[in-house]
Formats: sequence, structure tokens, C-alpha cells
Amino acid sequence: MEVTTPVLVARGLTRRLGVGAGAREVLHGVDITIEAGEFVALVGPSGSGKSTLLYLLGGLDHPDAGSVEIAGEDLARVDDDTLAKLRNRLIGFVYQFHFLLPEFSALENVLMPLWARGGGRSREDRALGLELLGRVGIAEKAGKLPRELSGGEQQRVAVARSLVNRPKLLLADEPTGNLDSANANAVYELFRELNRDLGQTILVVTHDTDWAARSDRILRLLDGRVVGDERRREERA
Amino acid sequence: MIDHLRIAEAQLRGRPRQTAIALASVGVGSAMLIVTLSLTTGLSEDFLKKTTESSANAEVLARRPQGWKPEKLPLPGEVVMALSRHHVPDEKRAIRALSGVLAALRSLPSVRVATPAVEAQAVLVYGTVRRSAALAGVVPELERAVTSLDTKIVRGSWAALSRTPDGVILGSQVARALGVDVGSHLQAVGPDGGGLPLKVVGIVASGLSQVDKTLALVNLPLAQGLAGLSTDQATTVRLALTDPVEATRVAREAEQRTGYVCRSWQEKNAASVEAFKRQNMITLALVLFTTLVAAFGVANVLVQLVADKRRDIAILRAAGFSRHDLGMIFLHEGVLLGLLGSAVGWLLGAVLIRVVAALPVDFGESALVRNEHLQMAEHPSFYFAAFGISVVVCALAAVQPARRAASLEPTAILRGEH
Ligand SMILES: Nc1ncnc2c1ncn2[C@@H]1O[C@H](COP(=O)(O)OP(=O)(O)O)[C@@H](O)[C@H]1O
Ligand SMILES: [Mg+2]
Repeated sequence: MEVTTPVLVARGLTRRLGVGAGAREVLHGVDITIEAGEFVALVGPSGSGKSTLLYLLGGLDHPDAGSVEIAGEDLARVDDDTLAKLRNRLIGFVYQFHFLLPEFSALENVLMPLWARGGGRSREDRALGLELLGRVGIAEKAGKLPRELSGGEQQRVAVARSLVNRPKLLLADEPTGNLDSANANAVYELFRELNRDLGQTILVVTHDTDWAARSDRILRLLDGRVVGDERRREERA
Repeated sequence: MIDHLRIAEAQLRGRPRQTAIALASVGVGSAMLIVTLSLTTGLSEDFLKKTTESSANAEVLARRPQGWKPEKLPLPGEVVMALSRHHVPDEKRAIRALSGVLAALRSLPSVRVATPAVEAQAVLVYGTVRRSAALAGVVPELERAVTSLDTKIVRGSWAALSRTPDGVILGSQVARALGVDVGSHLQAVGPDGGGLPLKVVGIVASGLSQVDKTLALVNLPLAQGLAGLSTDQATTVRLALTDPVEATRVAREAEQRTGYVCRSWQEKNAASVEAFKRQNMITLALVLFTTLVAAFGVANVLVQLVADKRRDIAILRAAGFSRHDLGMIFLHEGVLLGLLGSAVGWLLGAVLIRVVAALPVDFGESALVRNEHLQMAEHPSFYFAAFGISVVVCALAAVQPARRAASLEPTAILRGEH
């Protein structure tokens, strides 16, 4: 086995949600390790804590106990501002709904994460944005506003946006949950390609059994616990 | 540098109707401020200008300064003697040894012109019409160097007074009340009852009601006779100074030299200036409320915007914008509304000033100052004040919405949208 730092190491992640009498523990000590280049599907029934887990892994939320390391950086031990910088540097997010900024063009939306570090306006950055739009297959829509794009196109823009910071880890929360099967399949193929061609490490929350079946590894979550971890190495080249 | 302004601007442009409402309220608020500053400053400046035009830079009065003692006067000996020798308590109030006092005043380097005058209440009689007036005997050629009343002659001429020993120049409202014009003959009845025939040689309209309603200028000897004073006595000496701003300092010097009270134009008008200041402060305080209303408009628009933009806020946070960045974006929106709103206010204010200045007004004869139009002042400082206040107020109005934007939890929003 190669001696490389795993992209993600999460240990004993615990998270309580809600306040007062409604408060309850949603995750009960979750351990996950993801190696570079893996394409992992996270599955589980609705309410099992998949989104909660994803937010913790992506540094959008603080765990009540446990730790998260992305590429060797400990997310649990830093303040909010530092966490924002780490998210910006290490993580890409794709959501079920294609949250784009409505006032900005497709290209500007793709470049937006770079604005957070004062970039996104150089010739190189714009070239990168256009290249990513080309990779997701809608380079010709670069100047369009989100409302001028179809749902599938908007989700492609969101995927391109999640890649613009060259993230160590791409996190997606039911990215095709809101798309028809043709579009869903196209987005799946896109993820597959990114993983194969760029070696992009991906963790996707999905309900789609097809999706899950076609990934390298399936993590099963049930009631806030990891109850299954299947690796299917034969798909890797 | 993160370009918060770029996102702020885009969000505002994405909400044109709400942005327009906010801009309009800020614009109206700052225009009100500009117009009010223009109006209040214009009124007090106009009053002050007319007042100083029709009165001297300083006036020596027929009164002794407090604690004045003849022997303590730091004057050349013979003048002290002359002053004290002639001082008899029972006599009429007057500046005595006028020639000595004039010489002492004219020796002061800051005094350009010193001219004596005799002021006396008199009743003017024309046929059956009687009118009380503030009769003033002056030396016409010197008087014109001390006030600019000579430039306010509307009928007849100033020079005619020097040529006509029994001539009188009347205030326009006095003349109107009596029904006289240049060439008319009338009678002046002094405090001791003696009648004096006068011939109208000029009419003055200073614009200042106090002056135009009471003025009756005659030659000095005539007034001295009417008031029962000798030719070496006067009730005031009026001064024109090389530097009117220094009038109060010169007045103290003149008191030292002459042993008579001397009042600068600033001291004389201090009460009116104070009254104007107080009145302006009250008006401005009221107008600042308009600005507060505008601030509420801005706060309202921004609170709504933060609520509408929860998703965008979550996305920006997830992509690596910090809480501070989000706060800054909405703070920039407030500042932007303030900047653009005060630009609207500048335009609106400049137009309103011109419109109001063009409106014909008539406050009637009882008004302090008579004008056909409101005297609107216009200084760059009004615009800068309105600009500064608008921007600060809008930035303050944005603080609460900005805090709200910064405090939003992205996970709660992302979860809520599932
Ligand atoms: N603010 C909250 N307060 C209390 N419980 C919550 C809150 N948010 C989510 N939950 C609960 O946490 C559990 C996990 O939610 P989530 O991670 O969204 O599940 P999944 O994404 O797997 O459907 C759910 O049972 C949900 O009801
Ligand atoms: Mg979920």
C-alpha cells in the first residue's frame, strides 16, 4: 500500500441538533477515511444524517465531538474565519438545488469562489472558468444569466463552480435529486469523468441506487451510524 | 482585496424597485436638508447683509462705559479736562466736545471715517397725516462712507441733501405712509415741540423694514437744533473701519480713547444673530427627522434583501466567504444607497433651491426683511453636509441588516431548502 495522506479522516463525529426538548443526537461517533482519487457514494434513508455529516466534513458546521482532517488540515480546531478560508481552499460543494447567484452570469458564478480570496478577475482565472464550463459541456452559455439556463445546465454550472478552486474533496448532496433521468445521467457521467480523468476525490450523497452501484465504494448510514462500507476495487483501473 | 462592492451593487441592481424607493427616500431626505440649509442661511445672511449695509461698522454712543471715571481716562490731558468740565448731570444725553472726540477717533489707525450724527424721535406731519420717525441728522458726504444707504436711493438723490439745508431723505415706507414724494414739503416736530419745515429730496428702500419704516435723514445742524444740542454735540459718532471684522476690538480701543461706549456691528446684532442661530438649529433638527425617515427606508429595504438573499448568503459562505465578508457586502449596500441617494438629493436640492428662489413672495409690511423672493443661499458646504449625513445615516441603517446577514447559519438554510 502506498503511504499517502488520506484526503479525509473523520474520527468520532458526534452532532446534536435542535434546542431544548427537541434537541437530539443526529450523529453518534462517525469514523470515515477517504483516500485520494476515491469516488464514494454515501447512502441511507432520509433522516439518517447524511446532510449533517456532509456539512461537518465540508467544514460548514462544527461537530460536538470528534475531528475532521482534510488533506492534513484539522477543521475542528479553527475559528469561523479560518474555516471559511479552508473551505475555500480545500472543498467543493454541489447541492441538490442548483444554488446560483441570480445576478451573475454562468461564468461569474463559476468564478465566485475565487472572489472570496480577492481573485476571479484575471485573464488566467477567466480562462480556467471557461475551461471548466467547457468540461461540463456548456462553454457557449458562459455569458448567460442563471434564469436563462435550464435546470440541467444550472447544475452543470454549479459543478463547474465547485471545481474552480481545484478542491481536494468534492462533496455533493443529492446532486441529481432534482433533475430528470437524462440530466441526472449526464451529471453522473460528468462526476465519473472528473474522477477518472482528473483523479478528483468525490463523496456523493445519493438516493439513486444506480449511482451507488456505479461508484467505487458505498458508505451506508443508518440512524447516525456508519453501518456499511463496501469497496468495489475492480472498477478502478 | 475582496470586491464586496461588486456583489452589493449586483444585488441592488437585481432589486430595481426596492432600490429606487430607497434612493428616493434618501434623495428626498438630503434634498430637504440642502434646501433648509439654503433657506435658513439665506434668510440670516440677507438680514445680516442688509443690517450691516444700513448701519455703521461701529457706533460711539452718548453713554459712559461702566465704571468710567474722568480722571482715569488715558487721554491727552486737555481732552480729559474739556470732557469733564462740560459734563453736567442734568443736561441732555450727548457726546460733548464733539470735535475732540472726533479727533481722538480719527487718530485711530483702524478708523477710516468717523462721522457725527444726532438721533432724535420726531413726528413728521404732512397735511393731516402724522407719522413718528427716527430722525437722524448726518453729514451726508461722510455718512455715505459709513453706510451704503446712499446706494439704496430709489427716488431723488443723496447729493441733494448736501445742497439742500432743509432737505430730508425718507425711508420708503415712511414716505408711502405720509403720501409724500420728492419735492413735497412737510413738518418735523421734535421732542421739545418745535416745528421744522423740511423738503423731501430722496427716498431710500433698504429692504430692512426697521429702517424703511422709520428713516428720516436730515443735515446735522438741523437735527442739533431740533434736539436742543449745540454744534459741538452729537448723540452718536459712526465709524467706518479699515477691517469691519475687527470692529469689536476697535470699539474697545475707541472707548478707551473717548470715554464713551462704543458698539461694534457684531455686538449690536448679537441678539438677532443668536436668534437666527437658535431658529436655524430647531429647523435643522426637524429636518434631520426626514433623514431618519430615509434611514428607516434604507434599513427596511436591506432587511428585506437579507431575508430574500438567504440562499445566496449560504452559497457564498459555503464557497468560503466569511461572516465578516457577508456583513461587509450588506454594509456596502447601505453605503451605496447613501452615495447614490445623496447624488439624487444633490440634483433635487439644487433644482428646489432654484425653484423656491424664483417663487414670488410677499411677507407684507410687518416682515423683518422685505424681499420679492426668498433669499436662498448656496454653499458647497450644504451639499457636503447632506452628503456626509446621508452616507453616515445609511451606513448606520445597514448595520443591523449586515449583522443579520453575518449571523445566518448556512447549514440551516441549505437544509431548509431540501
Ligand atoms: N435543526 C434541527 N433540529 C432538530 N433536528 C434536526 C434539525 N435539523 C435536522 N434534524 C434532524 O436530523 C436528522 C438528520 O437530518 P439530515 O442530516 O438532514 O438527514 P438526511 O440528509 O440523511 O436526510 C433528521 O432526523 C432531521 O429531522
Ligand atoms: Mg439530506
